[in-house]
Amino acid sequence: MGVLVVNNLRKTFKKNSLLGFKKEEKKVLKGISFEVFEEIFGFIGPNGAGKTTTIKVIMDFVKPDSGEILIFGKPNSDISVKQNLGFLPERPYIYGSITGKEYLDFCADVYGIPYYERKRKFAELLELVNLTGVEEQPISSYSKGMVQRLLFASTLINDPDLLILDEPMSGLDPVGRNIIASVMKMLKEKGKAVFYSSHIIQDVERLSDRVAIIVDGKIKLLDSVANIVQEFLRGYVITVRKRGSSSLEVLKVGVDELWQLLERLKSEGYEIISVEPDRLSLEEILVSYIQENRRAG
Amino acid sequence: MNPFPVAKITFKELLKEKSFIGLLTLEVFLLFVSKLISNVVAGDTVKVAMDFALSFFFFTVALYSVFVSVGSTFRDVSDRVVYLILSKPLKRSDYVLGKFLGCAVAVAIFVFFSFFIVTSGILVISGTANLYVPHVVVVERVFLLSLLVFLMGVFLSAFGVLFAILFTSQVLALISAIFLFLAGLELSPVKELVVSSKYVSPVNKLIVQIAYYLFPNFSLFDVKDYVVHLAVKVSPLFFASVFIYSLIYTSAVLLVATYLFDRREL
Repeated sequence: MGVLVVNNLRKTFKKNSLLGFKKEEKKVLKGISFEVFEEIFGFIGPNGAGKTTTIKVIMDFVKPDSGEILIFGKPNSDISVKQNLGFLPERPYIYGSITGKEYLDFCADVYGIPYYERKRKFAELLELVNLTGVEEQPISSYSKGMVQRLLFASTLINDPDLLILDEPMSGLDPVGRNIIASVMKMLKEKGKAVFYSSHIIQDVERLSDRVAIIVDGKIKLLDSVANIVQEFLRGYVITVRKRGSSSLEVLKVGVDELWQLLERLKSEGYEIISVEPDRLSLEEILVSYIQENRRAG
Repeated sequence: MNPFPVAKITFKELLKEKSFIGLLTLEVFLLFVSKLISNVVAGDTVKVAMDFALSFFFFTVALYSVFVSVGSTFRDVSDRVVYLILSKPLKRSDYVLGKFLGCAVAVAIFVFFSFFIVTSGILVISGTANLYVPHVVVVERVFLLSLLVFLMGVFLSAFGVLFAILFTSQVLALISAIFLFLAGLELSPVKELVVSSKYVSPVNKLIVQIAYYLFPNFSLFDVKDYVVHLAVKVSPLFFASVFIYSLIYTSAVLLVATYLFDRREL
């Protein structure tokens, strides 16, 4: 069984109409199921697809209409599962008047981390996110990226086995994104599970082991990044050069014709410079699902 | 139950807010205003000045309690701080109780400083005139008043947390809490007036009496007369009963707040 199991999740938001007579209903999640193991699991989709709602339901901030969520084999409403869980919401905010250390102290208080361990633990966490030396400053003096990195570091204070991150890269500069990405990879190497949503598809593609694409409250695709790449392979782009010539030629070939063409080119005296897969990027795949959904709906 | 981490961080946040120093500074300013008013109003100058100073003290603590409890709780939800807190192994009841306790400690510190400011002010005002009440008695009575004002602040904080959870507008939550306080202050005189009147029907008298017992009675905490007039006596039993009243009512308000917050979608 996975660390996180989401089974047939449905959620409808009800809105009162202007006079409050009739309730407008919007189905946000329409039977979502997936399982997260010790891996980096990317959750992508367009705005309003249901990513944040799914995460809110997983975190028990919002109750689903139906469906089941198990974290470490226990229902998500069981408070004990949060002992071993880290969570970072989208665009996180914390009081500007307190210092970074005071916030970390709060987290340590919640998890019952003894005082004698805190100094070492805080130093490790701050070093991990490149924030050493700023912990005594009020959070109001931090940049947005620094706040995000501090709060990301704080999610690791209890050494969680499952990390749930809602858009952890949004609002970060390339250095900040790289820091978060490297920590996520490090956690995976330690055998932890990371479930995160993002709209920065390039990050999802390079980081994730598996990806789920959610469009209009439904999972459209769930597979490993390697399989998706293979599935959406259109062919190959071959760069060649005729022996004795200095100019390069670029050829496109279908998946099944690659080896035949390579043999022929060799026999005709061509030098193979490179062979690269011609595939749809994850972004193109996502866009195609969104367009398909618009046409259908 | 583990409300203390939330209480601790709430208290730290509130003490560093500008409203803490701002309202204490306002209290100092209002002491000067009290002295000025006493000079232009007919009657015993010292008594009038003391009356005004204590009234300002009473209302400043009430305002501080409402502002911190409504503001802090409401901001947590609207700025999504509550996601960071509730993603940790804390129950929603821990959050509500922690928020309340944090506000209560902030109110206690505010009342503590206010006590020194008001007492010093009153001693300076009364020191310049012929004192009709011994200084030590004044200080003792201001201290007892401060204890009741603290209880009132705690009581109001519970309502502030409740209203911040109940309403989706911070302004509405603030206005409701302030109106509740003002209505609760006037409850006793209104009840006395209605019950003793021969023009009010028995049914309306009954309604007013029921409302009197259900509605929070903030006039119980107002013992300014006890400080200003030496002849006024208040029994220890009164202080004990006000304490029990606040304890029971505050617990009930927090139970309702927890019930509502448990059911709220964040």
